[in-house]
Amino acid sequence: MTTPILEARNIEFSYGRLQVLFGISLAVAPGEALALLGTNGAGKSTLLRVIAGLETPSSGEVLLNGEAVTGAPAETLVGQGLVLIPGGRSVFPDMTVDENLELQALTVRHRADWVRERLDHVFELFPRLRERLRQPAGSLSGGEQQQLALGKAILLEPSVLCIDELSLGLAPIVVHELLEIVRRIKETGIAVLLVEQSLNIACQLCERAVFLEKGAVRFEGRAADLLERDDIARAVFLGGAHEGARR
Amino acid sequence: MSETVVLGVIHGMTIGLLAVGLVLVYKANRFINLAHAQLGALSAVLLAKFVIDWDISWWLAFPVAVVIGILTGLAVERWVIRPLRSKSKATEMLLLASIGVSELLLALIFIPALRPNNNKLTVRGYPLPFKAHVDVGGVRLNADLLMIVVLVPVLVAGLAYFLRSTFMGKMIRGTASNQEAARLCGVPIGRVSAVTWGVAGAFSAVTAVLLAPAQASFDAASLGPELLLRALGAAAVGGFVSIPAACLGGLGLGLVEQISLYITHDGSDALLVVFAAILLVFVVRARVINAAATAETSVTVDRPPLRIPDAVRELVTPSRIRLVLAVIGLAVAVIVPHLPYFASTAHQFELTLILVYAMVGVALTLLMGWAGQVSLGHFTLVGVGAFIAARLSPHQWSLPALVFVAGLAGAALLTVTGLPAVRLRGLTMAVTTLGVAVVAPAWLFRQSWFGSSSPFGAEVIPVAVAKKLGTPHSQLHIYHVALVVLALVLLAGAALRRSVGGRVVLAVRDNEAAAAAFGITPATVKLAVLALSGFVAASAGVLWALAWRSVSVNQFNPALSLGILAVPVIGGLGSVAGAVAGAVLLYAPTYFVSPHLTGLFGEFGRQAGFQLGLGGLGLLAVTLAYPAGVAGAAQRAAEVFLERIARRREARPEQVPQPPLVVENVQLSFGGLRVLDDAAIRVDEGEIVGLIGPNGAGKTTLLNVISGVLHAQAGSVRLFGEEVVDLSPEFRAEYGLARSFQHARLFPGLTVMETIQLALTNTHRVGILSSALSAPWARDAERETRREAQEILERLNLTRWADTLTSDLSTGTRRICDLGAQLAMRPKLIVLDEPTGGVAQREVEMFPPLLRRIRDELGCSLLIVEHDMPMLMSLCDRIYAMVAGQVIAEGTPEEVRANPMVVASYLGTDDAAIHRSGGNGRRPARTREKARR
Repeated sequence: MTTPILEARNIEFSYGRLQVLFGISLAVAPGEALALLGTNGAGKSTLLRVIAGLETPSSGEVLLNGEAVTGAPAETLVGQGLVLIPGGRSVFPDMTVDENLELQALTVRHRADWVRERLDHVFELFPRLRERLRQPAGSLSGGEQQQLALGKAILLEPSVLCIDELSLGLAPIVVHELLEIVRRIKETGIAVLLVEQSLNIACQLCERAVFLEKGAVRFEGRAADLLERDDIARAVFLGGAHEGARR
Repeated sequence: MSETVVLGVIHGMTIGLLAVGLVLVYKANRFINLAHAQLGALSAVLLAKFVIDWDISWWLAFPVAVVIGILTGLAVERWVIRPLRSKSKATEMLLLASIGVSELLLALIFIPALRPNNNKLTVRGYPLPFKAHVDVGGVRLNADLLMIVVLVPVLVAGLAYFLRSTFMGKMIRGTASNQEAARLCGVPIGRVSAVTWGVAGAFSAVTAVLLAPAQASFDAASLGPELLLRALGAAAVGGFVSIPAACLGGLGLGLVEQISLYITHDGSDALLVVFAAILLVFVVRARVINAAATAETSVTVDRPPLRIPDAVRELVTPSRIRLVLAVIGLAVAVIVPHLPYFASTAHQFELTLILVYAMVGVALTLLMGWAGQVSLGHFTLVGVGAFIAARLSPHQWSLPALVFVAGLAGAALLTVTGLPAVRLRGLTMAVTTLGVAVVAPAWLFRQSWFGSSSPFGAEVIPVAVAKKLGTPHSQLHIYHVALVVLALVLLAGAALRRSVGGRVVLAVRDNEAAAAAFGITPATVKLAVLALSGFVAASAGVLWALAWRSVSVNQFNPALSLGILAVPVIGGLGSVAGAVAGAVLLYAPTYFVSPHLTGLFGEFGRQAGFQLGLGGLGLLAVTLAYPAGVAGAAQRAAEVFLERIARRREARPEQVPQPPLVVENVQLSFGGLRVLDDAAIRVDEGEIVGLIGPNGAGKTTLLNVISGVLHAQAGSVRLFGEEVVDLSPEFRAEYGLARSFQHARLFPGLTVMETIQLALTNTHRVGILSSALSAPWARDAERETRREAQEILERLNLTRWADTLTSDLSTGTRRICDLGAQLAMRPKLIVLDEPTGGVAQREVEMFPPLLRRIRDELGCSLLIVEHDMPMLMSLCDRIYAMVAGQVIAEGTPEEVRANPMVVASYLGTDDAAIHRSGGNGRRPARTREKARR
């Protein structure tokens, strides 16, 4: 097997005295899309934050392209090809779309031509963004903000793209559009680590999946197999059914 | 009229310049930097010193002054803002810290060495770069005004350009907008924050230099609340984030003020109009300001209730502790004015003022600690009460009636002031109260129907306490009256906190929505707290008036309201008793120590400078290092004390003997490096246990966890059956744990005898005062200590070294002395970290028999970390071997010695290396091993 582009080994993490992650390991191969699934509070987002350098693990290792980057702050990982789209707020709401993209290009500022090329590529994927270049990002719709977030993320042509809850708070039709784009992003050779609550979305996009429960890996394998695992599917779907009942 | 406009524009420009500085920091750190004007104050003072005292050219001094401003900004960012932001997200903490910074900076400019020669300054005026004048619209613009007209637009445009168009500006805005996203883009947020503060410092320095020619002197008032209020109003126009709007706001306010001045010919009326305009801004722009400034966190760090160990629960109850504290406090308060030093009228007067400050502190505690609202104008309420007292005192009112009426007025004023802030915490309330603090002395207190504009103030006629209780005339009597009022306020406050009312107030502060769901109306509760706090502060004003005998406007400088915020903060926000302690700690030194320190702040600023410096330091120390303040420190001390008593009481009943030490599953990582991984060891009664392992295996770390120097992230440490994993080292000593360190440095300046005696201090406690006075009990204890120390020295064969300095001992002897100090604590478990490290071979041999004798005589157990295998083999009952944070082997010395894992990872197969006792191999250790068998 080739060197994984991103690997986490035995990650443990605590918020103060509360341990959230218990020895989690996973690997993403180059160009692969891996789904990170789990119930609410399973530790998915925390794991992404640890991987992206926003939090320091209490033990374990993070390897990027075979090199240990454990404990390296988030600011330095962008330059090494790892980009995270955090869940919820991931744009600069007070700044224009233009400025949002400009800040994202911070690490490659000296390569102006290349950046222009990449920008064209981004606008090709998201023509909306070109129209709203001078508008504050906070005034965009939720879907457009996610487009901006995705646009920012692929601007740098990262080797790994971590996405936290792409579908959070978005209408199904918007999610569908975004999914299509993530699929295209993946086709350009960017590896994707996708955190999702929705099993279906994950299975559409990813070949492999890791299922977390209470901060530990409960399942790892082909995404399709996950759907057949009754116990796990129930954990997710019951949660879904519950929500459905409330509606 | 044209003059009015020109003056208005110039005035507005200075306001706008300050407002822009506020916006800059607000954009980056999301808080109102109340210290903004003061960041550059030192620069302005030093510039004057350079030019006037040292005859340096203005053009050279100016850039130096700007650099000093930049450095000040960087220092504040590095040592105040950054640590605070990493600790808490509470913007109010930053607000309080910025008040502390501003006080500290103001105290600095009181230092005579930093100021220009005052006489020369008065004669020459503040230095200007050139002499020229231009006439515009009937106004002669001299160099100072010309600089403002030219520089302000340039500076503001420059800053706007910097933020809008440069990449650093974008990084600053991005970090402010979404810090996490900025980090994920690779923005170095530390550097960005530093640059922001550097720019703010430079800006403030230029502002201060521009404003200085118009100021008579540099003191607390000149760059203080009056300008700050206007700047806040201007910044509010743009919701604290828009630079152009802040500038326009400044111009608008400047024009409003000059035009009202033109119409009314009265500066205080004009100020009132300006305040109204600012309030209007806050009402009209409420939505924008709300969006920019919603404080979600509360400023208070709530202390958990006092923890009382079970063993002493029937002996000690919180109410009994409070009673004891109250009695002690009252006794001290009654005795102090009778002490020789305080027997003068002047000193008793100052003592009364301290009580008044304490009452204001309590009022602020109610508001800030319990309701989470910041008031920058509480001292003004004292003025309201004082002027009412002055007005009503000739009409033969009794004291309670006066207090009641003044209190009601204060309650009404604060409630009205707080009305706009009912929906919002933090910012709005801070601005409206600051407005009152500025407007009341300038306008209300000068109105003939309320106060008095006479420089001598309004006279206060002594009033009767009650019909038959007589009228307090002397300062001592007034002091007693104030003491009674303060006691009543404290009783009421304490009762309120423990009643339904207190719970409701805290509930609203913590979660309005949830409180509302319980049927509580948040707005009503907030207004009630405002009323109560206003009542207390204003009734303190009556006492102020009685003490002063006359009430005048200049007693209520708005800066005092900012200064007094330090009282509840130092006391520990939320504790009424803490507020009293805070007042005493801040004002007692100010009144009674500062007069003796004229060297520091000079004759001129000794009191003001001292108080600002002390208050600033206190505010910073508390916000940065000890958010729980004096109350928190006292509580912690009480808990330690109770724990100790409980330990003693618990020790009495015979229990089933528990193993001295059981360590289980201890986990500890430094960053990503796991140092202890499920480490587990056990020491049984009377055992000597060894711990071996390669360097870095975690042996010392484990000892640190056992002794409490480090805290395990998971797992359990039990001493004699009691879980101690969360306790700090000083508690663990109470369980009979003693520990030596790898490098026995001891106290180089003490002799061996003194070292042992020092270690015995804990067993024979004598106060420093009693020993200084050689009280009989102190002498008895001293004799007892000496006898015991001698016994220990004899036991360790140290007698002949008794009077040698520990620094003169050989390493081996020093370690034995260290051991003696451990023994003095009468431990039941001794933990030794490499006792033979660095000790000569000859001396190493003394250890095993000595340690065994200690074990036998004291009946204690020992845990020893060592590399000296032969010594361990001859000494230990059992040995543990650690590798990479895990215990890999356990057993008798022979078993561990033969364990293949231990051999592979630690011992190796080279006998010479294993038996390297002392390093020179003069005496093959194997013989000793054999001898032992």
